Amino acid sequence: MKIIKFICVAASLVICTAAAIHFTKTHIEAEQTREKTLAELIIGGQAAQGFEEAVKEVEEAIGTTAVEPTTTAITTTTVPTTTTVTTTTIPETEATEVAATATEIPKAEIVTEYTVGGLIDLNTKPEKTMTILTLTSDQRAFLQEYMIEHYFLNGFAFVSDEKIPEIKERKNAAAEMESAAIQTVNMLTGMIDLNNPMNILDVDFDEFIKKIEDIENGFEANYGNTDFSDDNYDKLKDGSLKYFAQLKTSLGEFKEVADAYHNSSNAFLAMGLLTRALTETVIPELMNVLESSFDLVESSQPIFLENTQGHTILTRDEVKAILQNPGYIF
Amino acid sequence: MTNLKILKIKIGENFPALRLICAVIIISFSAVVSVYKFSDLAGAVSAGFTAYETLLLILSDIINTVFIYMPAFIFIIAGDYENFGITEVIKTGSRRGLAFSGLIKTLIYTLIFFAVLIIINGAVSFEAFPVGNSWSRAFMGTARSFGFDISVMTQPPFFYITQRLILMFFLFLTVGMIYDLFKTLSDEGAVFPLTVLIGIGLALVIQTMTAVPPMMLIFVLFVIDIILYFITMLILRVKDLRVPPQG
Repeated sequence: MKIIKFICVAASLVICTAAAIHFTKTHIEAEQTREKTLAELIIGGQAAQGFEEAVKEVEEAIGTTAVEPTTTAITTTTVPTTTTVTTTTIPETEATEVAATATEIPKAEIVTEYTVGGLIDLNTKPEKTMTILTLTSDQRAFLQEYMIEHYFLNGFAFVSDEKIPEIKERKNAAAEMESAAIQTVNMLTGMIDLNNPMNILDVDFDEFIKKIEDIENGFEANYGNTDFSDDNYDKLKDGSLKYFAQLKTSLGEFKEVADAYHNSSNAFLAMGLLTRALTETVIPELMNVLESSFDLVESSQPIFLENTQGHTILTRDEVKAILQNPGYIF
Repeated sequence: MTNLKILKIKIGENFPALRLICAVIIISFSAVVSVYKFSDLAGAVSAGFTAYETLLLILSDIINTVFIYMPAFIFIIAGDYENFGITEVIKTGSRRGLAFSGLIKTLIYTLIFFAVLIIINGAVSFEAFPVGNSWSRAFMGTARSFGFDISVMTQPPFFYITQRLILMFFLFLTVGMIYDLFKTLSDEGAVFPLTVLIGIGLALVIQTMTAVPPMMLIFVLFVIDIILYFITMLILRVKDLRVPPQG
């Protein structure tokens, strides 16, 4: 009987340990092969700043350099970048019949030619390993310009360069739509102070949501009924409206979390609930909002690049790679 | 010799196998959740811990200690408090023998429990993270948020972490002996929660004293254990162990 007891305990130990190892292995493999979203990279990069400062402080205090324990990387296959070249031409405009001294209307030809992907080689690691945090201010400025030139695109610059009125009008509308979304993204990221993330609980969410609704109402009034008969434009418009709806939903959830925290009578329990809410609600919602803002960027690119030639824009994978290691462009 | 024989019988007869199995399952679950947490943290700061550091962090995690390890440990040792009375004194030959066999029994259960902790948490830590000889960047950058003083990293990691693990062992042993003492004094049901509370308090105190060399804390706990043993022995010498008449 005694032996059986000991055997049962030993068996349970072996089984539970094996199960624990299995689940751990599965989780680690899933994390290593999971693609990080752009939003995670950006927010993760900012949050890591505090970490780097802490490491430096410790290294100075103890007079040594930290080492990175070697890990066995799980190899992932990279999808080769695709290159697309599009060229469009519009048929000649019909000359209107006028009296004898009719002047010929010049033929409008629209040529759109740009390349997606190929600016960096994802299959080779850059010579220098860099992080956003270690960039000098000049390097950061260069990175910002590079990203705007090859991904985010300065919509209003394309508007001023455009000569064809019809396309100019479309580009102007797209630039204004995009700037409405950018305005809300700036408001959102301004809301979060990574040096003291708890400040998010003190944000006046009602006022915030009201501002978003004002922007959204203005957006609908200006662009709700515009129709350029252009798929890209419609995609941008619908995407923008979805983005605002997503943003309001997310802010509503943040407000509920903050209210629950403030109204709780048990600070200890509230802290536990808050930690869970941050992990399960706030951060995923924030990521969703940022990801959908990047979807908007990509739907605005074909509009801005219409009737332009020679541009090369980054794919989302390339953007992620550069954010993880800016060495790709230096 | 009689004491050891009695001890063998006591542990064999009253061995809390079911309680130990429950503890194994709960500890396994908490080990997986803990290693997920540290793995996600390592991913977020793009730096990895070493396996040994992870083991230290899991076992030093005050939430684990407060809600899981301490109650589980006392749950296990509380499972072997049947048949305590005058017959035990007769079997061991003396009250002093009874006290001594009680001490050895607590020591053995603490060793078993601690071995379970190390095996399970060690297995998942070594699965998730690599072995390393120096402090990792991840640990350096996050140590203070886990309550560790910077001075900790002036020592080699293996040396420091081993001391901390020994300190944890003595913490559980001390709590076990406190339970023995309370059980000797009274058979009330409140002994269990009271011991858990004291254990949690001790764990919190030790966790906040990371700037103090672990060897010093180990010495303090060792002295406390000796004092507890002598107090228990003194109480056993004078306590009336007769079973009250029924009815």
